Amino acid sequence: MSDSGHETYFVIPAYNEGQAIADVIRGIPDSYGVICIDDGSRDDTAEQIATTRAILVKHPINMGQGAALQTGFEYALQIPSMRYVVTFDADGQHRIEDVETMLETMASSGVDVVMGSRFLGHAINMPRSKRAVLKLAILFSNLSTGVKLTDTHNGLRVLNRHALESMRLTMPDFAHASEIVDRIGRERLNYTEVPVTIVYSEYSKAKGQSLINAVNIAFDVILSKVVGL
Amino acid sequence: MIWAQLVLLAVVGLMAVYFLKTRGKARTKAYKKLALIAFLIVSVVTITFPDLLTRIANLLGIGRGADLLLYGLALTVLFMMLNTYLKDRESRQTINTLARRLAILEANQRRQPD
Repeated sequence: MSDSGHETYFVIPAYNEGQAIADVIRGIPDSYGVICIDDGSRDDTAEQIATTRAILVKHPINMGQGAALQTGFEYALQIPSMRYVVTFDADGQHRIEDVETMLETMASSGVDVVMGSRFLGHAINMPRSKRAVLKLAILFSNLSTGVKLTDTHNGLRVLNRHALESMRLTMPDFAHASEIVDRIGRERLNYTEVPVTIVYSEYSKAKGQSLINAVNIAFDVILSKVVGL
Repeated sequence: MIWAQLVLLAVVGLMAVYFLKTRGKARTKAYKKLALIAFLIVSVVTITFPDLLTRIANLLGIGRGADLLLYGLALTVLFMMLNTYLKDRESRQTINTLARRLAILEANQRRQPD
């Protein structure tokens, strides 16, 4: 298999991130492997990834961020040396220092999943409306899954092999964040949270989830709970 | 027997011939065929004896047979919408699995030619 022999791999889903993706990958220390999933972008994302050391996995069609993460998980699982996967956003809003803290927590606590929390840590320049919607999502998630978190929709997470094997994400777009929490509860994975800092730059704000999309996400999540699909 | 009834019965007849003749690509499930036959029988009976529908409606506390038909239709449409939504999700899932397999195979090939 394509084994570059790392213990920890960053999994980065990218959709139309040609502008930022190469710099984000270059900011990751060489001691970590990088798996970058181009989710059928219409711009030069794939070409930009190809200029870096990252392993490029290219979706032939756009399938959504959740599907891209699942592809990254499955790719990582075929690498024998892989012990941990870090899910990382392509727009540069996460910090490497936080990843290092999370990996230390992972190693010392022996949990299956370490979740980053911007509400335990700092959210710099976060729009107020976004904060309100997120708080609502967290409340709903805590009530419905039994997994108690202070931040459910954070893109920064560390998962071990056991957690990766339990994921099997099927939700489209950003509903996968709820799905990951749901799997943690259902598969009884051990988890903990680490405070992280998220910097909302103009670029990441423009690229981020629009608030109206929360309606779509809520619909998908509630329906899946009702219909059980 | 009025003309409208003749036309409706002809349409129901044609539908019956069409559905029962086509075996369906994945062999339409048996219970679907049974449901269809039940539907056809009910259609023929209610077209031939429209008063029957009104009598059933009255039994259920609904004014007219046409209203009963309307409620039934509304429920059917809702059921079909849900059915389509679930089928859509299922087929998207199939496509995703396929595309993911392809993407991973290609990525492996890129890193280890031949």
